[in-house]
Amino acid sequence: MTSRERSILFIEDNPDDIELTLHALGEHGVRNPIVVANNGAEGLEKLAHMPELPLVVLLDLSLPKLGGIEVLQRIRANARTRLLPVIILTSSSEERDVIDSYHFGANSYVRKPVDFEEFHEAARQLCVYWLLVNQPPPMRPSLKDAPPDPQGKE
Amino acid sequence: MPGESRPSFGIESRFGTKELTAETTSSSRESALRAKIGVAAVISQDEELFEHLDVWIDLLHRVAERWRFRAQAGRLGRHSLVDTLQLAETLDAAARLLESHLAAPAVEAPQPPQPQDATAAILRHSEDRFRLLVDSVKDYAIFLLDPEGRIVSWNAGAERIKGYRAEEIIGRHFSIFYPPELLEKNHPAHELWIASRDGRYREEQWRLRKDGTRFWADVTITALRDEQGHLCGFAKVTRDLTERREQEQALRQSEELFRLLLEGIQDYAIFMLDPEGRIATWNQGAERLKGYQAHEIIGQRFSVFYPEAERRDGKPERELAAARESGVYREEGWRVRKDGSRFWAEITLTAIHDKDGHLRGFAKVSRDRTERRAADEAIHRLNQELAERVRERTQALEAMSVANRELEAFSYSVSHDLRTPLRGIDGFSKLLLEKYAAMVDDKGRHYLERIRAASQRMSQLIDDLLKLSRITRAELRWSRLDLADLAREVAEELQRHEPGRHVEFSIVSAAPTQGDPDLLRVVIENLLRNAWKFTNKKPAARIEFGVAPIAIAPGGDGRDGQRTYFVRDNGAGFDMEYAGKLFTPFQRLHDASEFEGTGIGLATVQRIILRHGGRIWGEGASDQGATFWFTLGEARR
Repeated sequence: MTSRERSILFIEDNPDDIELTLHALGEHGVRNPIVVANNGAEGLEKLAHMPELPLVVLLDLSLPKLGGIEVLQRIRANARTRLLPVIILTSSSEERDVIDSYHFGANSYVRKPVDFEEFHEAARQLCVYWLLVNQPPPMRPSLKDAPPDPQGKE
Repeated sequence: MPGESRPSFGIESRFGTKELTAETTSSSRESALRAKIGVAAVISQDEELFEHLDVWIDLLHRVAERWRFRAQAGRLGRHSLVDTLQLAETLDAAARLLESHLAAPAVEAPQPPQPQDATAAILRHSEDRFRLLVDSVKDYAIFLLDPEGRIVSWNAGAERIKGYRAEEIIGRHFSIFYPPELLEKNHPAHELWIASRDGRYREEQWRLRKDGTRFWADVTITALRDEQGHLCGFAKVTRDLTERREQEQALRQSEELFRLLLEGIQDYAIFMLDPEGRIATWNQGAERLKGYQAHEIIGQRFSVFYPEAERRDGKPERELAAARESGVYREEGWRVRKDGSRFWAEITLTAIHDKDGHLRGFAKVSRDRTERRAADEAIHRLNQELAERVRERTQALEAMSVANRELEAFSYSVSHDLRTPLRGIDGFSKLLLEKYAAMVDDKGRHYLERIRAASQRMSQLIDDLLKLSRITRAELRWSRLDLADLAREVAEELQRHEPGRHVEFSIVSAAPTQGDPDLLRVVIENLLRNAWKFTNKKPAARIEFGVAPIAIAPGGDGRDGQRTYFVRDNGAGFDMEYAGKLFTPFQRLHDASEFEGTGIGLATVQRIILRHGGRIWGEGASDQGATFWFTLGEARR
C-alpha cells in the first residue's frame, strides 16, 4: 500500500471548516480517503476501528465532548497509535494551546487563517509536506522496536 | 553624819560614798531629802518622808513597773535580765514595806523599830539599787516644792530636762519654768491651788528651760500633807514630751495632709467602708464620679453603687468577701451614679486590718473608665470592620480572579470560535467568486468582495482585541533595555516594508530604562507605526523619538523625576477636542477611508504604559502633526 492510498483522519466539528478543508485538499490533488469525525469521541472510535492506521490526523482543538488535547493524549497513551503523526489545525493562537499541544506530543501546530487564500496555501503546504515529503511511521508499529516514550507517562 | 538629826541604822554607812557625802555636806535640805529617800522605808520616824509616803510608794511601784516593762521589751541596756527583774522586785518590796508603815499607826512610830534581818537584807539590796533608780528617773524631773512653791529638791531628770543644776534652782520659785503667757494668767498659783484643793493637778503645757527654750511638759503636781492635813508642799513630776508632741503633730499634719489629698483627688473616688460595707468617708472624686454628697452617702451600704441585678445577685457582698479573703479585689464593671446613669468603673477594694489583724474596713478606689472602654470598643469595632473589609476585599479579589478566569475563557472562545465563522464567510465568498463567476455580475462580485473584506477586517479586530486582552493579563517581565534601540529596529522594519516611502527618522542615541521588553516593543511599534501611517500623505515626512527634558515636557507633571519620552510626527495630527478619545478602544479620530486601523493600537499602548506605572498623553492639531508623550514607572522587584 502506498502512502497515496492510506487514509487521513480529520477530526473537526465545524461543517464550514470541514467543507472548506476538504475543498482545499481536493484542489491540491489529495486523493487519499479522508475519514471525517465530528467530535473527539467519534474520532477516537473511528481510529480504533480503522484496520490500518491513517497517514496523519488533522485535529481541531475546540471539540464537543472530548477536546482536542484529550484526544491527543489518548492517541499518545495508546500503544497502537502513539507514533501517529498528529497535526493540530485550529483557529486558536493562544499560547496555552500551542504549548499544551506540543507538550502532549503534537507533531505540528497550524493556525487556520481566516483569509481563504491564506488558508488554501496552508492546506497546500500541509499536503505536500505530510503526504509527500514526510516519512510516516509503519502501519503496525512494533512495540519492541519503538524507542522509550520521550514524554514519559504523563 | 553631821547635821543628821536621826540616828543611823547602819544602812546610812552605805551612803558614805564620796558623792553622797558631798551632797549631804552641802547641808542643803534637798540633799538631805535625797539621801533619805532610800532610807525612808525604815525611817518611819522621819516625819517629812512619812508624810509623803504615798508619793514614794507610788513612785516605787511605777519605777518597778517601768523596769519590768524594759525587761519585757528587751531594753536592758547594760543590765542583765535577772538584775533588772530583781531590781523591780526590790522596788516593789520597798514599796510594800512603805505601805505597811503607812498602814501602821503613826503614833507607834517614834520608837526606832528593831531592824529585822529580812528587812535589812532587802534594804541593803534596795540601797544598792538606789542609784540605779535615781539614774532611771532621768526621764522625769522630780522635785519638791514648799507650800509657797519654792523648789526644795532637784533630781538628775530635772537637771536634764530643765537645764538648771540643783544649786542654781533650789530655793527659787517654780514659776520660773513658766512662759510669760501662763505667768500673766497667774497659772502657777492656779495649779498649786487646784493641787491643794484636789490633791493632784495634771496638765500638758509649755514650760521654759533655763536657756529660755520651750518644751512641752507633762506635769503632775501632788499636794503633800501631814497627818493633820496641813499642806507641807508639793511633789512635782515633769516629763518632756516635746519630741512626742512634735511626732504627734507631724503625724496629725501628715494625716491631715493625706486626708486633704484624698479629699481633693478628682479623678478617683476614694473612700472607706466599715467592715460591714457601709461608707465611712467620701472624697471629692467620689462626689464627682458618683454624684452623691458626703452627707447623703456616708453610712449607706456601698451596694447602692451597683446595678439592681448585681445587687440582687449579691455581687457587692461577694466582692467584700473576696477582698477580705485575699486582701485585695479588683475588677472592672458597670456602676450606677446617683442619677441612675451608668459608668464603667475600674475598682480596687482593699481590706484594712489593724495591727492585731482585726478587719477595720475597706478602702475603695474607683475610677471612671467609660471613655477608655468606649475607646477600646471603638478599636475593637474598627478591627472588626477592618477584618470585615479584608474579608470583603478577599471575596472581591476572589470574584475578580473568577472574573479574570471567565475573561480568559471568553478570550479563548473569541479567539477560537469567533474566527471560525469568519473563515466560512470568507472561504465561501471566495468559492462563489471562483466557481460561479459567470453567474455573478460585477455588482455581485463587488458585494462578495465587500463581504470578504468585512470578514477579514473583523478577523483583524479579533486579533487586536485578543492582543489587548493578552497584554492586560500578561505578567510583566522586568529587565533593562534601551527604547532607542527598539525604535531604530522598528524604523528599519517599517522602511524595509515600504521602501518606496521617504521618511526622515530622528532617534535619540540612547534611552535606557527598565520594563518588559516584549510589551515596550509593542508600545514603540504602535507609536512609530501610527506616525508612519499618518505621515503617508506628507511629501517630507519626519518622525522623531526622543527624551524630553522634564522642565519642558508639555502636559507632564515631571513627578518623581520620571523621564518623559516622546514620539513626534509631522503627519495628519488630530483635533485636540477629541484627545480624550485617543486611548479608548475602537475609537478612531480618522475616517477608515483615510487611514485604516482598528482603533485598538493606542488603547493597547496605554494599557502597557499603565501596567508599567507610567502615563501617556497626546498633543496635536489637525494637519499639524502629533506628539505622544509617555513616562514609565519605577522598576519593581
